[in-house]
Amino acid sequence: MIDDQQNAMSEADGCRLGTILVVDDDPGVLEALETLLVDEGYHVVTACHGRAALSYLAEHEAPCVILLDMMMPIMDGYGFLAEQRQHPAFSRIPVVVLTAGANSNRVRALCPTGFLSKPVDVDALLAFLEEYC
Amino acid sequence: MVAADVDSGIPAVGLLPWGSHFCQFYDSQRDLADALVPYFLAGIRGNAQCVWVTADPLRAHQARDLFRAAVPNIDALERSGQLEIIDYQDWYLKTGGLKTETLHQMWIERQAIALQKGYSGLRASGNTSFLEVCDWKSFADYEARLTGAFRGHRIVGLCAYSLGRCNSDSVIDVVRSHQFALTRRANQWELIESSSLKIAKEELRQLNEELEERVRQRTAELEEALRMREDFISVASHELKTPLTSLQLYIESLLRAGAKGTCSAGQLAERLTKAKAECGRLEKLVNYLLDFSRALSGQLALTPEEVDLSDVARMTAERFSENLDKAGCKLSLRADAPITGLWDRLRVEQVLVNILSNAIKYAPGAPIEVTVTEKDGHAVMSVRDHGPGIPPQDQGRIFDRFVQLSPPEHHRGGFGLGLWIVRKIVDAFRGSLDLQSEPGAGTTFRVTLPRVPVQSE
Repeated sequence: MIDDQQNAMSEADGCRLGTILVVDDDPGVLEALETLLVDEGYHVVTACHGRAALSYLAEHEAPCVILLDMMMPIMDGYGFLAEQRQHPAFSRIPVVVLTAGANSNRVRALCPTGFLSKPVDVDALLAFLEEYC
Repeated sequence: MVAADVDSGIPAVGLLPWGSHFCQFYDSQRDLADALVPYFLAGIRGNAQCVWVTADPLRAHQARDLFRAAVPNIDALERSGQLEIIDYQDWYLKTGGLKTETLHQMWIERQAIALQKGYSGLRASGNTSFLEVCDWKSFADYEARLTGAFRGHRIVGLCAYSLGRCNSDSVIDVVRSHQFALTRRANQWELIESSSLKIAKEELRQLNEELEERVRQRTAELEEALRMREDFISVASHELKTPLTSLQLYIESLLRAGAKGTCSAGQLAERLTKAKAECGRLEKLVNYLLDFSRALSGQLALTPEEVDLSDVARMTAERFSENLDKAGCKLSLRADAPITGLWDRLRVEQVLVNILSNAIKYAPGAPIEVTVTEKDGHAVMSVRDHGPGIPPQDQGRIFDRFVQLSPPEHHRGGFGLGLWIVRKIVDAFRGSLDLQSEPGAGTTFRVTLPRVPVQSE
């Protein structure tokens, strides 16, 4: 589910930094991440599974970074990464995987830009974002 | 333990366990040569020490010539001591001081020496054509003793008997004193086994097959249980970490906003409320795990009281309405008449909540119908969803613990325990639980509860 309203609101707030696409099936986690990142000055858009994230990418300007959960219904993080790779424009976007239980070796084999376990090390997450946004 | 089989070298005999003691009835020199040459060649190949005691009609020099045709380095084998081909007269001279009562010990000692020298064991054969000069009775006793003596040792022994010289009595003695007999009739090798041995072997073979099948089954079951447990641990940690992550992110955001002095009182209250909600989610999950552990040890506490099942269904539907709205599921309830019974109210609620949770998880956006009726003196509560249905092959395991029909990567949340706990509660009420489902046509869960108090066990 893409939150276009939030998009408009964030722009009105005059955020200083770039856009981050957060992909997670848990509304609680999405909301909490958004709260934290908006406080830090980022513009946040959200998607609740891989398929929704791909639709967002197809219709919008590329975000600076994608924060990606792995275990999701409809299209999981593995499916998303596989499709993102195929697409020349999407494949350049850095992806930071945030996962609560996925097989870390399997995730690392897909070479995401970053890999953080949930609960998230916020300092490490913000350091990543600072580098790419 | 002497368990491994060795190659007898004789195709009709095949593999033999160490400790075998068998006999051959021969008609001609050719019979002897055709059995004993391959027998000893296999012994040499298997690094056994070989002792071939010969007699008419196949004497040592003839045996040596036959062997040489197959193994040119026979002289080296004899010099090294691995192969000994000796006529019975010379053998008798060597062992003449031994009485048949103690002769079996000589074989055991020779085996021990062979093992010391690094051989795999001892392979021996003797021809008994000289027996007419011996006392048959004591020789037959010696043969019978050998069968017992060889057991548990790395010895294989083949005794050759001339058919022409055996009378019917001695044939019976010989067959009885060996594990089995080998003979050639009409150019075909035949094994003569006692019927009890045959039956025992067949029973052993069947037992072995059954045992192997059981081991295969048990291993597959254990592997499946292990895989389910691993999946459960992965799912449980994911489930617990998810609200923990939200909680931690809210606290981090408050700390950071506090440090920067940018947090308004309204924001503070809003974020703390959300953090509290995540604590509630965590608590529910932990209670769920506790229920699981109690149900597993059969300690689901039940406090029966007079309960109206229709009322329970109405209240539960009301309390569950937020979740139903979120999932886009419209619930229609038919629970007109009060259906009372002696049940634990909270557990009955839990049954309905778990079935409804299952429905909104797998059939979001589709209507759900709940009905409460009475049938044959029992209370019946059924929940019908309009989801994808449950494939027939999964219907049997849907109430098992840790079962989630979507693969872990497509995890839809939850521990995979909801319907298992439903079954445990219904069992505790001595009720029954069944489902009707067809792929594409939704699922109906039906809970039938007796209205009488639960008998404690």
